[in-house]
Amino acid sequence: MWQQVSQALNQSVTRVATRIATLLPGFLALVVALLVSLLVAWAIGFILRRSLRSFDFDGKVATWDLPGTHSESGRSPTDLAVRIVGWTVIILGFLVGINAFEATLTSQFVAQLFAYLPNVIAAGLVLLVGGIAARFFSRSVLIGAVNLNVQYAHLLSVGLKWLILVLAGAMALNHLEIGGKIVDEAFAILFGGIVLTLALAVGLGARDLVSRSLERQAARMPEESTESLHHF
Amino acid sequence: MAETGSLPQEVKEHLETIGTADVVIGLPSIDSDDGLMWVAQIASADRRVVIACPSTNGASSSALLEGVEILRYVVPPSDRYLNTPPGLYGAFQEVFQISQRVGAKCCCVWNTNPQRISSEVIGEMLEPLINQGFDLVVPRYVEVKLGSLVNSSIIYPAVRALYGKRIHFSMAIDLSFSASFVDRLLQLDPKTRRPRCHQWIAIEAINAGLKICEANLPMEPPRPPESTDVSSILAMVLGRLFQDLERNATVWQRSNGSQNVPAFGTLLRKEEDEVTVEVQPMIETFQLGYRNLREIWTVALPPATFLELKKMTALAGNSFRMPDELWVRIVYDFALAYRQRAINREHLLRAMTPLYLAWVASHALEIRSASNADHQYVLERLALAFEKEKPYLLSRWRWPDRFNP
Repeated sequence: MWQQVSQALNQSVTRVATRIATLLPGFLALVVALLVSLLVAWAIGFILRRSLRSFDFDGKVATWDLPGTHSESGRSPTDLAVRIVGWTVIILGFLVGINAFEATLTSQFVAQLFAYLPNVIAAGLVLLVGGIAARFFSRSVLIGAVNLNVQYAHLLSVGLKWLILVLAGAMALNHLEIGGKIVDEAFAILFGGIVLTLALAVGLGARDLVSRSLERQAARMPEESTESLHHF
Repeated sequence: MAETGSLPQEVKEHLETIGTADVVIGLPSIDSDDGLMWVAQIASADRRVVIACPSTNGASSSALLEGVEILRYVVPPSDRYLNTPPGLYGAFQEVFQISQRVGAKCCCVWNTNPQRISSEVIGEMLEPLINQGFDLVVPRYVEVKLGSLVNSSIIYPAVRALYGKRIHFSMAIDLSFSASFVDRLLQLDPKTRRPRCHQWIAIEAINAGLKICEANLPMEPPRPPESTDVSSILAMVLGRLFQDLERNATVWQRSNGSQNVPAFGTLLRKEEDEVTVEVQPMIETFQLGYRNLREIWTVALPPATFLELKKMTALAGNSFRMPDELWVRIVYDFALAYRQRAINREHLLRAMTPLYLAWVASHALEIRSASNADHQYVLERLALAFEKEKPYLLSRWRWPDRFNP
């Protein structure tokens, strides 16, 4: 009996060892692919950083007024671009390494991943455009409201910014096919909730404030027309 | 000589029938024949005059009085005026071409209401060109205490400090030109190979080293339409000033000090007693701006200026003042931020409105009961501050990355 147990254990060890032995080249291939991709990422990053700096990429991007690219955020656009390219190369290297394990299983995974990639890119673009639009329009509203001496200028600006960001976020999640109908419904509730809150705030909470503001505006108009002040 | 654009064939034909003329008077904003007759009667004094005005019913020409021809031209569809509100900048191109074609010695383009023209005005605007050999006549309007504040606070002192010429209304749109200056303005810009920009002709004349003079006119400055808001016009005027600063950097960096330009006619000042203006809303706008627009102001203004602004927010009522040096530095700092494109330019210019209103409130309180002489002193003090602080602009223009506390 002990002989049979020992034989079974030997066979099991042999099977595991064989299995590990068959996986080892795959592991090695993964490690090599990762090392090579790290080297390639470093080389590409080095060349990219030098070429971007040579034509003052940071200075040019600063003029586009993109969110998160200002010097006070501590991230320079050149660093960001180098990191994006570097991580893309490393991920590609990882996918190549993974493919060396089990051709049929991993190639299915890789194929699905690549099929999903356009959604990720589209969602990223939506978020980027949404971020830029939110920043631009909230600032426009803030400046316009301040110049009109609207006391709740900041509130208006922040409200608009979050409306655009929520809209962009919901659109991005839709592109990523995450959450399905829940996102649509949650967005509708959230968006509707924000609008309703603002309407109630103005209609009930700030009714007196708004009426006083309008009265002041109406009272000021004829007064200004008789003033001897001309800007031009 | 390269000429920009060309007149429609039918206008050229009419010009051939007219022949030559001594003077061309362009009236781009005229809208009735009554006004035309009035100008014609004034203009017909020993000179052969062509009055050019736009028409929507095709080109035509006719003799209105002896020696006075009326030429109606059709304004070609163009995007040239799309970026400028009507009434602020004029349509010069067609009048220049007509003037060149008829070989006029000089031409006057009157963009504002023609009813304001009188024989005295025509004389003041044309005589320096005909008899004194000047190239450009810029009107100087009657000075009003709280009138033309953008001009008094920014345009006049900045142009004076930067370009060295004391032209009081350099952005005026009623101007007179010599034939040689008209020829120059019709040439393509040698740098860009595009038609010259006619929106700030006085600066063009200064850069070209031409002879400029002022004509003291017995009228108040023209006003833009009531609907135009302060923020929009301020952004547009500042945008023009700052763009010209970039374009003419080599010129203004060489200029030092300032000189008067010759003036003709009698200078008039409106006699005013105490002027009262409601300044509280302007102070409130400034305080609101200080609380909410810091993110934008930080891009343009150094910390020391911020500290000064913070002190101003604590001032209330009649004690509210903005020192001249502070205002000058704000204007120069915004010009530098505009050049560096540190932020969207439209946002930057519009964000200056609360600061401008703070200056207006301070100025209104300071000259409330001042005499004309005191008012002149205050404006002169500001202009001198612009000249005194010019090295600051120059230094930061040349070395923008240098530490600026």
